[in-house]
Amino acid sequence: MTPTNTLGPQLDRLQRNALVIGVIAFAATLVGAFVDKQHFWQSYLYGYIAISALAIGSLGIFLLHNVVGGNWGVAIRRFIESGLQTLPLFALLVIPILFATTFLYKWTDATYRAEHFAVGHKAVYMNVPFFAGRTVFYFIVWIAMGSRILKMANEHDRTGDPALFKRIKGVSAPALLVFVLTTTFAFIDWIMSLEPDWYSTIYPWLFTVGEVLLTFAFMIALLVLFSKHEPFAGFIKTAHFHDLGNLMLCFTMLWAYMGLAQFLIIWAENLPDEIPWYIRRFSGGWGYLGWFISIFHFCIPFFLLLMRFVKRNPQRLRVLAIWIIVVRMLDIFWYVAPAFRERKLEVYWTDLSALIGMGGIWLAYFIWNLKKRPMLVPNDPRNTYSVKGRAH
Amino acid sequence: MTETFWDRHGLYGLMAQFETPEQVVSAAQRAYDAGYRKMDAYSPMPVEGLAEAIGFKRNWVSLVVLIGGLTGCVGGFGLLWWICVIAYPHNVGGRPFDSWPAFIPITFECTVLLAALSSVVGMLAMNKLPMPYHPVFNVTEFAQRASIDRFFLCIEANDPKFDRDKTKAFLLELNPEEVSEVDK
Repeated sequence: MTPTNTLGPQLDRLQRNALVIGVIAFAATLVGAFVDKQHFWQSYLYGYIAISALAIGSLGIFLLHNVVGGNWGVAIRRFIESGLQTLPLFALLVIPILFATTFLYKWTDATYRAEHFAVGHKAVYMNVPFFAGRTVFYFIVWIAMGSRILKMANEHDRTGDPALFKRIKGVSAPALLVFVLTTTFAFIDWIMSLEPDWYSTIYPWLFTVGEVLLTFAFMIALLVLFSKHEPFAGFIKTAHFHDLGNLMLCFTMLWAYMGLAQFLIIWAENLPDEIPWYIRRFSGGWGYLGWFISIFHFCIPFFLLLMRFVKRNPQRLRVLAIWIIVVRMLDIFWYVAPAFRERKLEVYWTDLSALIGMGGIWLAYFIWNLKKRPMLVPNDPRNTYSVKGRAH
Repeated sequence: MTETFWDRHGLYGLMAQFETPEQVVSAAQRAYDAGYRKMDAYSPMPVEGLAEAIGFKRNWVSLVVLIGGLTGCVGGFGLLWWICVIAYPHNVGGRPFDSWPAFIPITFECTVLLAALSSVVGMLAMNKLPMPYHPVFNVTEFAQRASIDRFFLCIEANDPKFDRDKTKAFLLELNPEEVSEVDK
């Protein structure tokens, strides 16, 4: 049996199940469109934002690892590469949103613009053709950057050319800058503009950090799942999990830091322009979710991730990673849904089915990408944990 | 009990000198298996498995850090609460005096500050540092090479199993470059 074969049947099964569940749930969501159009689009947007995070986050981690290196990335390298290869799926799934802006975005409504002076003035920027054009532009930039640099990385896997390795690093640094700028504008367009009166400058970064955190959590859960099988079994060291756990801690803290910074500034100002965003999210049941997220997305994972016995034990780390995935989904819901469901915590079945549907289809596509190449990168100069004869 | 001449001037222990990290790890493991507990290993760099080999289970610095952090957290929050509610209550924008969200940044900073300080102080205290004198430096080879290219295992004389001749014979079995007596 060749090493790559041992993981094969498990991957095939996972992919098939994900695809079947995903397609069924997605079809059910589409049925929901005929039952309740308004809520269908809200659910669709929520599912889209939550699942696309994995592809966008993968692109971010890919560029980051190209720039800074590190053994943590060697272990999950193929996962993040396969993750960024799923970007075209979200370029496809965003198209319906571009045609359904009137169901989602208040700034498309002429009466609303007339009543809200500031929003009326934003119409130069927030109008449907420009909005759609920008979204297309983001995807062109992301897919172009991702595929170009991935092509170079594949070439390097084959040749191990040190000059090419350096060039990948050199290209990825400005690409990372472009990534942060484009995601900033994308999250302003897609989510922040749901409440067009409101603005917060840290919000898009808060979202980007959350997406990277979600992607890390997903990749860690996957790595633990695969770690008993070849080729991972002979490769993965405790130190890999320790490093990845530290990164998850770092992004959990960064997410909390930005979230608190945003809250503290808006709370301290207490201005009528800005405070309603938080009032909507802390009234009518949404407050319970808000507190739940503060405690279970930050306090508890933070304390657990400080401890070595969690980070160095793959099974414990996996439980925590899956938990982070769950609270990320709740957090994104807390950001998106109160814009539509004012002062009343409501969950529709399409919210769940859209999430599962897009998640399942994405997972199947992700595994399809993952299966195309060997799970471990050959000749990775960043790999030092597995080199013999080193003290650490 | 009065201190005798030998308590003050006797033998601190026996020290074996090794050329490679693998040798010192296996020597330490064998010494531990032979029942020796009061011993220490010295190396110019971190060596994987060496701490475990001499029977070092865990250190308590993390507990000290936790206590320091919690003290900073409670202290920082308490300080702000006392200032804003009792000592100098001011009406800021009509908010309650105990507006706790505004206390979070300083509470967090105090937590980090005391946790960091207690980790440094706790580490020094548990290593019994600063220590201006240590008997191992009486061995010339140790003083010259322990931080450069040699690895040492020292079995201390206050170990219950310690016997000058038997322990020396035991250490010589481990293929050291040299075994020296360490004077106090």
